[in-house]
Amino acid sequence: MKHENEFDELARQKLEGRSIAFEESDWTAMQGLLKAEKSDRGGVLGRLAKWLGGAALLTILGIGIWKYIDHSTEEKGRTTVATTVVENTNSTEVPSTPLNGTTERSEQELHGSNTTSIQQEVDRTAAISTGSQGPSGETPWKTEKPEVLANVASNNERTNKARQDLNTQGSTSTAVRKKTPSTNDRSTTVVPTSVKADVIEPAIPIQDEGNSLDTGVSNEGTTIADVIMDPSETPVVSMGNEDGPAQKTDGTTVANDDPGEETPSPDGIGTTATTIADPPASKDSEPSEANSNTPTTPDGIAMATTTPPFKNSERPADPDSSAMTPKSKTSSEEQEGQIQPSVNDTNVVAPEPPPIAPLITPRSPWQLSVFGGAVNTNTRYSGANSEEWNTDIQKQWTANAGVELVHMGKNIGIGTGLHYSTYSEQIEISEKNRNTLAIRNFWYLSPIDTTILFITDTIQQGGQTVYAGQSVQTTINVLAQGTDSTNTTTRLRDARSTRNKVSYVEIPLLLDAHLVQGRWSIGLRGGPTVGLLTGRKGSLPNSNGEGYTTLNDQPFREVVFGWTAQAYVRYRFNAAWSIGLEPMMRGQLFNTLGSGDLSRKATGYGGVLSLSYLLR
Amino acid sequence: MVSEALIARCRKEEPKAQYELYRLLHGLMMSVCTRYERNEQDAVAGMNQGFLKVLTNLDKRRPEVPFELWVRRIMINTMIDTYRSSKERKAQETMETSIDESPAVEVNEYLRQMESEAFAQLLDRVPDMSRKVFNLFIVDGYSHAEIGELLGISAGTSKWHVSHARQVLQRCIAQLAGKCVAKTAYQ
Repeated sequence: MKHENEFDELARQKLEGRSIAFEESDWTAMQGLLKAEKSDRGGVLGRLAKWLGGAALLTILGIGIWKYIDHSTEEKGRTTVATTVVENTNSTEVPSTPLNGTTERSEQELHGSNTTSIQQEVDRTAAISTGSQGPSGETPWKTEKPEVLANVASNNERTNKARQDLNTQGSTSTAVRKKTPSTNDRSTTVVPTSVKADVIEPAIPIQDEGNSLDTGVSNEGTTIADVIMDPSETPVVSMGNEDGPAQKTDGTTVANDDPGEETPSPDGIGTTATTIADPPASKDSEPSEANSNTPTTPDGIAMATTTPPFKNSERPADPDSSAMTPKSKTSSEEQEGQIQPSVNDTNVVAPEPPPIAPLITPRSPWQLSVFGGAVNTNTRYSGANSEEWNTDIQKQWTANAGVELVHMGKNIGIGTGLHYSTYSEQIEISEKNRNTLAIRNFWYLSPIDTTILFITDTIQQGGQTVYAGQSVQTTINVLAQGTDSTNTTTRLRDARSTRNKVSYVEIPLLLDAHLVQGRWSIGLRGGPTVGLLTGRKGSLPNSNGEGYTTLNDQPFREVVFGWTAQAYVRYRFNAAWSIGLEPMMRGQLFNTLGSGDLSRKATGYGGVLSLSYLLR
Repeated sequence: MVSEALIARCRKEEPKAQYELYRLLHGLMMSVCTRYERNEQDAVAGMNQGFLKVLTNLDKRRPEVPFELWVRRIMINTMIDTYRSSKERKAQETMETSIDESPAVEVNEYLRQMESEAFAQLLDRVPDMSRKVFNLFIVDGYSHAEIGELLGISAGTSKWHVSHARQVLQRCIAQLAGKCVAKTAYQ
């Protein structure tokens, strides 16, 4: 063993004592390597630029999708205006005429109905006063499918009945508002082929503004003509359901006044299918002759109905009999308290209703969230001499909090925030000793017992010499080599249980995907983070294995990159505020120590409670 | 001794400073690399690779660590990494049986008289793995456990490699010594 130690020591000295001459060729090779490294560094930058470009592209794409979704939502929510569409696809005389300037189509058109139907207003007053609200309070575009609300040119039987009713009450005019069940939507056929200009009688303008309708768009083509229900020229009406709702003739109108059965137009506004304004009906009032121009039936009933738009040849010559009676005229008539005859003025445009203030102030899509909770952090050390102690690292719970501002689209959101994150670990470090074995050689005298023969005499016997001797027992000391070894144990590092904490303020780029179901919303949120070192506490064993170094003396990076991800379930308890429970994960992407061989990375898993506020 | 000023200039990537540093460290780096790599060209390549690491990691060096020690550590790691990534690593030499013991005292005596270069050449006769383990353990002061982790072997295997390298060297030295004795007797 001694010789081996000596050999090793000599070998070490020999190998370390070598002197190798410098050769220029080595440096030449080194220069080539340096150049290659420089160009490679450019390549790294290029790759980084590509990554950043890709990330920017993805971000732009995400924002684009989000904007698109957001825009679609707005489009959906926009109030639309539509008017009655009279369809008669089979009857060429009464073509369907959709509104100009509007993209909305009645559902009748969508259904491809082959009937000539007139969708009457259901509750115009309600429709106008509430803006886009239907009588049931629902948004008009969500109402059930359109029904044929009236058949202006209803069957003779029903018309006669109406006439009788009207006659009974001495009404000067009437509006025929009938509603047929939706099941008759397609079976009701109106053949207004006999409608001619000369039989077109003007309807009495509406006195009530509520009965008029401002479609908000050009009404050209939105013709709902008046048809005089002259028995001789009564259009042939074939109704699928003879049992139409009972007509109510409370003085002025013949209408299906059962609001429950009435259906708002699919466009949300009760359209002026027939508008026959009527003076207050009374039995004492003048009959229709008082209004000599008022078209009347032979029974003296002024009938204003709606029909499809006239053809040019059929259009009344009266230039004032435009389908869209000017509002001013209507107003003047109202002021005069007279009922002026008007040809084709059943579609009276009321003044545009004043803008209605929204009942609920729309909220900004920006959502501000604060959260706090606990995260169980796990720190991993590697490199240097960490193998000596990194097996005894325990996870620790730490408090985490933050604030986030996210632009929430329909399903996608993007935003940022400020997270305060702490990564902690408990390390149990065992003591470390150094054992030094010192070997020393020494010489010593070793006593050896021996027998020495002394020649004491010489005797000649027969020519031969005989030696006489004497044995003497004695002890001699022999020089011997001994080995002395000394084993010294030096304590290099004490055992220690240390809890380390490193805190960061992290700025995340948050991408959010969520689904909203009533008051509940679920979602995923996460993204990369940039962490700024704010504090550190604790210590780690030295890299040389002797003692400890406090974390403040460790070369921590001031800026670290990480990631965060969280799932959330939130409950909105009013329009603005919501609370949520959010499982959370976060971690660091790279080594957080700046130099040396020791590497440190941390991750954390936990949950937080959040409180979110949707900004105004 | 490398000055901090020179290191600072190297951080600024001044070619002259880099050359100066290379020149200063060449002996140290080459002595390490040639111990681990018997092929001189490979040793130079490894040394240059290590020096590149030195230049690119100057910012990460902790000031309390002596620069030469740090460079030496990088060189060793570079050579070991190169060896680990080598595909030929699997083709290790088989563990030979014991070699005839030579009188250790004579060997040591002869070794004491030997030139350093001559002993370094003897080291080339030691099988690759054993030479690396011998270098790591005897010269660079790694423990068997550390060597085992570095080279992916067990501590016991590391011990065997040290012993094997030692025996090979001692045998070679003994042969040299025997030749010398024979030559002297012949003369």
